[in-house]
Amino acid sequence: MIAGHFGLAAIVKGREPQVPLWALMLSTQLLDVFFVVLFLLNIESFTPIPGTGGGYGNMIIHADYTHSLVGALVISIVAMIAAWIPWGRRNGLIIGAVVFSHWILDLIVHRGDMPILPGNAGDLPTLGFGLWAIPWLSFLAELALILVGAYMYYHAAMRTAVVAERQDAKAGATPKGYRRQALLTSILMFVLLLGTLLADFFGIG
Amino acid sequence: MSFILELLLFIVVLGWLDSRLRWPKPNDKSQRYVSIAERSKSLGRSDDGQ
Repeated sequence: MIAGHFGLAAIVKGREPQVPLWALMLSTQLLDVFFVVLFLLNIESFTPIPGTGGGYGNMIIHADYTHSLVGALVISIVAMIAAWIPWGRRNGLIIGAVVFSHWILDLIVHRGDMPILPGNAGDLPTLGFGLWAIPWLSFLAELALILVGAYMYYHAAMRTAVVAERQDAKAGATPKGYRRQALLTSILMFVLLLGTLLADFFGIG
Repeated sequence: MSFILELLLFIVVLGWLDSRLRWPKPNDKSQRYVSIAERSKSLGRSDDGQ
């Protein structure tokens, strides 16, 4: 799941417009960013499900540190503190929650490969509800997330643009076309979300 | 590889376009969360002042 995480960040932006979008987009993928680093260091990896060529949902992901419950909590808390310092408590909590939302969404789709403790210490049972075993349902769940996210982002962006244009008009300033900018950014958001989902589902790239 | 490209598109390109909209800033007072307890307190204060 990649697009679904971005979709969730767009939903949060629609509800909490004061949090910068770049920070939400980075936060929602932070566990995977660390996964890529550990993958390049040969510490974490993924293998195709036997009998499949890999692709959408057909992977067992050995992300024993970044995607362990405790590992995800630690990363979320560090991100929360990093955002709390410049942006205050509320925004820090939002960033921390968005980082941890990655683990929650992955828990729904992963095929029982997410450990509780980093490095699967103690050999405890691994977690994952395995929605990826039903690819079309997983696809629909991600599609729902990106559609709601794109709509909520569009709604918030247009509302912000209207307020900005009213403020400019009140101050006697020349209108700067905020609504057009909001529409263009919303369209790009939707195109990127849908493109990411389709590329992931059909194994493009 | 595509993940890194997607990440860059969402964070750098979309983030830059988004920053050109006049969103409220993270530290704007008007966006600060005010708890119900805090609201009750400030209402109480204004009542006292009247």
